[in-house]
Amino acid sequence: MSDIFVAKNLTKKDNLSAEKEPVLKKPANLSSLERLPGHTHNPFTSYCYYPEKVNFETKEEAEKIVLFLRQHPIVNLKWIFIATVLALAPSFLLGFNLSFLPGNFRFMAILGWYLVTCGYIFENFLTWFFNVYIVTDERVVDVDFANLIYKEVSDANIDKIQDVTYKMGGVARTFFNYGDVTIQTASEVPNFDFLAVPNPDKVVKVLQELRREEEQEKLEGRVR
Amino acid sequence: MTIPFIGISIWGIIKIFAIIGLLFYIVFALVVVRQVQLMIKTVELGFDTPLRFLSIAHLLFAISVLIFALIIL
Repeated sequence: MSDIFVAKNLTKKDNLSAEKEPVLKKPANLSSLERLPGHTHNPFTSYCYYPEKVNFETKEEAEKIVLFLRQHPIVNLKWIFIATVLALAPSFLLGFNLSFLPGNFRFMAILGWYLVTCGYIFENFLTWFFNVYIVTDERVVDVDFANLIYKEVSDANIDKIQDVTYKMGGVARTFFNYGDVTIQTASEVPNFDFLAVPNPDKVVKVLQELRREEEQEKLEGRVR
Repeated sequence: MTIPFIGISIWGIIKIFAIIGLLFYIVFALVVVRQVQLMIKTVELGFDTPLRFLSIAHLLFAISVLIFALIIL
């Protein structure tokens, strides 16, 4: 009697091998870099794998940036909404009676209002743009640009990483696939928080593989 | 419109406050220009020239508003 159903062992094996495929795909040359998933030239990107145009002050010559992260663009929605309200406010307010103000004062009030709105937009944009997280093949770097007069740059070697966890919760985070990655280290800064970064699962996997590579390098005595 | 007994125009006082406010804003815009320069030095992100331009444009806008205020108020 012939078999009605034959299990496809080969397909299963293929799936398993695909699952075990490493996340950390290193570019062999410049042309293969372009084909890497997650690689982009967009300066406003929140997730870039092997970025080309990114550089930081304390980067060593032989060091390679593996991952570049910043907060998901969706976090900007709040201040963009406020900025829109601020930008539209004068046209609504003009509907009210502002005749108690002389014409020149009215004009200057509107001009000043738009100046402050511009400042608000620019400051919020800068805070988002410069608040970046960089993972190199040697360390993780956290550039915190909290506001205009405060910045903090901290880093920890990959081999100092003790534990990496990520959390995703809430509708927006699940829908847009972003979350917080917490890195516990044995360095001077005990915790690194990559807040609201896209693809947190991939970030964790990249960090895991980098740690594994670093351990391998140590075993082989190839430590830089 | 003048304040009784003192004889100072209320719009004159508002003008002085507006100019002081704008001077403070120019200091803020200068801090923004400096901070952008420092941040670009700390991390290069491939958008340096437009950011420098934007910060200077913001400063020039603030200065021009101050000049306008001095002329038309």
